[in-house]
Amino acid sequence: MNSLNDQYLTELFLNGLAGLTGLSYAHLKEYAESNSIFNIVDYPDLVHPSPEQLAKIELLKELIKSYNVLRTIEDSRLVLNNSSVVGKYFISFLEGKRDKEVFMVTFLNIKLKVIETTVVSEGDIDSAAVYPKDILKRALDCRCSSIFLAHNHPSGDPTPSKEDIAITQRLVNIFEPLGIGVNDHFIVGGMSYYSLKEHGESCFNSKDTANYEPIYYYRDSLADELELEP
Amino acid sequence: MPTETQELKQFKELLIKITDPNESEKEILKLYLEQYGITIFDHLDLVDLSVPILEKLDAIRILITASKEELQ
Repeated sequence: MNSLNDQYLTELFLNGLAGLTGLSYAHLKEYAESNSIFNIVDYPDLVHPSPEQLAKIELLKELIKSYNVLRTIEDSRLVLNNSSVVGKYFISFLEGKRDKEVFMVTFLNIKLKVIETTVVSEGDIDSAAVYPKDILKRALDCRCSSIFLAHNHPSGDPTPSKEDIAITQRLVNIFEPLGIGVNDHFIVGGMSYYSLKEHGESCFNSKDTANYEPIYYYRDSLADELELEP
Repeated sequence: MPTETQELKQFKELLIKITDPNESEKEILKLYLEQYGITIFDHLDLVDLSVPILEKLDAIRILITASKEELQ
């Protein structure tokens, strides 16, 4: 039974290969009876192809090479699948930023592998501006499934302000309806981080219509003093 | 050196060229490639295309698997 099954699968494979290369099924079958059929990609001359068939085999070789390049990139991506790893990841970027607020976004694929991490805003010691349209454009360009948000508090205290939570909510309102999850928002202060998700902040479900206007934010204590509306 | 985006674009173009689908199948294949990218070979059971195209895609999958084993 297995042998019949194997024979059937081999026939399907040789049919497919014949379709791809233009070589006849009979020719491929004959070659495969006493050789490894996989040789024909690396050593096409073994099956005496016509120039057209050779061009198709070269294309096939190019396709496999391209696949292997993309697979290597995919396999080497960093996986951000728990808060501790993500917190340390953002500390490595933001820990030294004592003179200004920096807002970063990490774009992830469906397996939580990093596609790209980018600075979306750099302000001064007190404030910065975030442009949701720019983040959205990048997210759509790289076809991410979800994002992490992060910014630093130059004061060294990672405790979030009301405004940090409101900013998260604003971005969730934009991304969630599009099927792009906002996994968490990390605030880095010195060598510490604060995960809004881990602390149960209720800003990760879409609650309002999307507002794409720029978000201006201020350092936590200043924001509270000014009682700024997000 | 091509960027990842360029490499992926090239991969998709090569795959379409080499499988040589008709016009309507080409559009369907493009959609699957948009959805799955290089993981299309892991989802062939969900791909609704003609048998000859599926046979070609499956043959590529087998060649890729063999090439991966060789690399390892």
